Amino acid sequence: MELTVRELSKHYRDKRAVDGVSLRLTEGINGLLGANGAGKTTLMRMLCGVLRPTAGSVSLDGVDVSSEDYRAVLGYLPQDFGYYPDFTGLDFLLYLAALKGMSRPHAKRKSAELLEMVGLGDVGKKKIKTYSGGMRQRLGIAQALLNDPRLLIVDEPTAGLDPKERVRFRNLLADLGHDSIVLLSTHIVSDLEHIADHMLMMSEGHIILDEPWDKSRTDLERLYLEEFGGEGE
Amino acid sequence: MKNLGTLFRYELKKIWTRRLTWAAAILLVAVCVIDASLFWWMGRGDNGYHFTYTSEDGTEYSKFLTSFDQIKMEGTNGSKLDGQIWDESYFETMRRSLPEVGGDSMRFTSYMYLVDHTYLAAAGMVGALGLSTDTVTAYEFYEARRAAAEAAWAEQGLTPYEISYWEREAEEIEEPFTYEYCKGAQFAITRASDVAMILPAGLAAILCGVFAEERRNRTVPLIFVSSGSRLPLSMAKVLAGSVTAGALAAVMMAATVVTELVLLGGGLGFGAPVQLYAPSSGLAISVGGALLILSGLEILYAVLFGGVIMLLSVTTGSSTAALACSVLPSIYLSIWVKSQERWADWLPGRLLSGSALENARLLGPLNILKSGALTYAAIALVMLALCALVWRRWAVVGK
Repeated sequence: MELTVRELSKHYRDKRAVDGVSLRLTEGINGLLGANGAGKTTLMRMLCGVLRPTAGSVSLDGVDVSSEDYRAVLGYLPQDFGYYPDFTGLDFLLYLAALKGMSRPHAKRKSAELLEMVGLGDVGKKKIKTYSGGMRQRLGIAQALLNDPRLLIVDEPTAGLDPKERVRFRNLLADLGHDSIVLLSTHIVSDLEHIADHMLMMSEGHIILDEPWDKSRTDLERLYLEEFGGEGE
Repeated sequence: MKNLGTLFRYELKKIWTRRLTWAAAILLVAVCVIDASLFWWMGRGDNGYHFTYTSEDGTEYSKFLTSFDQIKMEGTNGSKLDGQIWDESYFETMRRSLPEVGGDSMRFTSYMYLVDHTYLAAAGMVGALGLSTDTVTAYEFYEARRAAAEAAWAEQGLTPYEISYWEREAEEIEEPFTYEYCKGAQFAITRASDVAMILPAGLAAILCGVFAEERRNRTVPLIFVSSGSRLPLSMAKVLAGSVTAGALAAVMMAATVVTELVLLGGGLGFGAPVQLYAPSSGLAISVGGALLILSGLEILYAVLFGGVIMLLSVTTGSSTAALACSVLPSIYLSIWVKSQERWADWLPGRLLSGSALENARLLGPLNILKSGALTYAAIALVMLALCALVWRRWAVVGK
C-alpha cells in the first residue's frame, strides 16, 4: 500500500503554502514535523481531499484523492477538530458512521468498541460539551478510525493536551501504524521521536527531510533545532 | 441514498437540541395563543355596550354586556340551531320569531341580546347581505348571496372566461345550506394571516443554522471526508428543515384553532358551507375544508420560507447573514405590500388570509388557492434543490 504525492502545490495570491511536494508513504507511522506556518495543515487537507490543490496529484495505490474509493479508506482528524456540543460521544460516532455509509448494527458495535479503545467507554452517553480537551481529541481519533482506515491522517493531535494525555495519545497512535499508513503532523518533537517509522520535515511549503527513522535515535530534537532554530518544543 | 433515515433523525436532533429552537417555537405558539385570544382580553371589563329594550307590552330590559359576553352569547345560542336547513320554512320561522322593528337596527340588536338570542347569528348574516329580517325569504337570501359574489367578481376585474369558470363552480355549492355554528373556525381562519406574518422571524431563527452549523462547529472536513455522505446528508438536512418548518406552521395553526374553540365554546362548525363565513365565496367547500386548505398553504409557505432561509444559510455560510437577509423582506411582503395588482394575490399576506376565500382571480384553470398551493410548492422544491446543490459545492474548497 502506497500513498503517492506528485508535485503537489497550493498557492495563494501572495504565498506558496505548499510548493511542489512529492512523497511516497507506506504502512507505519509517518511523522511530519514543521514549525507553525510551515504548510503542514495545508498539505494534510489536500491529502484528505478537502482542499483543492493548485497543482499536482494525490493517490492511494493508484486511486485518486477525489474518488469515493479513496474516501472509503481514509480516516482524518483535523487540527481544529469540530464537533456537535449537544451530541453525546456515542451519538457523534453513530452520526459519522452513518455518513460513512455503515449499517446501524455495525456502527453501534464499532462505536462502542472505539469508545472503549480510547478510554471513553464510561462517558459515551454524556454530551461532548462536558468533555475535557483530551477527551475530545480521543473522540476525534475514534471517529477517524470508524471505517478501519488504511490511510489515517492526524493533524496536530496533541495540541492543547496536558503531558499525561499526550503520552496516552501517542501510545494510541503507535498501535495504529501496524497495518495502515499513518501520517502524523506535529510541531512537537517528542510526539514523534519514539514512535515514527518514517520522518518528514517541512519548512516554508517544502519537504526538507524525507527518510526512514530509527526509533532508537535520540537526535531528532537536535535535527529539528538545526532546521527551525528552536521554534519547536 | 444509504442511511438517509438515520441522517434525517440526527439532523432533526441538531435542530431541536438548540435552545434557540425551543425558545423560538414556544414564543411563536404563545404569540398565536395570545393573538387568538385578543378578542377575549380586549372584550372584557368596560369594553361593551349597555343595551335597553322595551317590548310591546311595556316590559323593560336593560343590561351591560361586554364584547366577549356578546360573542359568547352568540356562540351558545348559535350552536343550538346546528343541523337546520336554511330553506323557506326556516326563514318563515325566523321571521315569525323576530319582532318587526321597522328598520331600527339598534332596537333589533338589543332585542336579540336581551330577549331572544336564538337567531342572533342567522340574523347577523341576513343583515350582512343587506336584507331585512322582517321580510327576508330563502329565495331572496340565496339571490343576494349570488349577487354579492357577482359584485366581487366585477370588483376583482375577472375576465369572461374566469366568470364562466366560477359560475360552473357555483353550481357545485349545495343549497339550501345546512347550518352549523362556526365562529371558532371562522376566527381561526381570520388569524391565518397573522400566523403567516409572525412565522418568518421564528422560523429564520430556527433554520438559519441548518447548513451554517457545520462551518460554525468546524465539522465540514469531517463530513466531507466521509465516503458517500454528500447527497444523503444534503437531503437529510433539507428534509429535517422542511419537516421542522411544516410542523411548526401546523402547530401554530392548531394552537390558534384550539384557543378559539376553547374561548368560544359551541360546536366546531367545520361542516358548515364556507359561504356562512364568506357569503361571496364561490368555493364549494366547508368551513373546515377552508381551514384545512389555509393550514396546508401555511405549511407550504413555511416550507418555502424554510427553503429560502436554508439557501441563504448554505450560500453565505453564516447564520446571522441568513437571519438578517430573510426576515425583513418576508415581513415586508406579508404586511406592507398593498398593491391591488394580480401578482400581489400570491403574496403570503394576501393568500394566507380569510379574504383569499373570496378572491376569485384565477391563474389559468385553477382558482387562487389551488394555484397558490402549486406555486408555493414549486418554489419550495426549487429552493430545497438549490440548498442540496450548493451544499455539495462545499465538499472541496479552493482556499
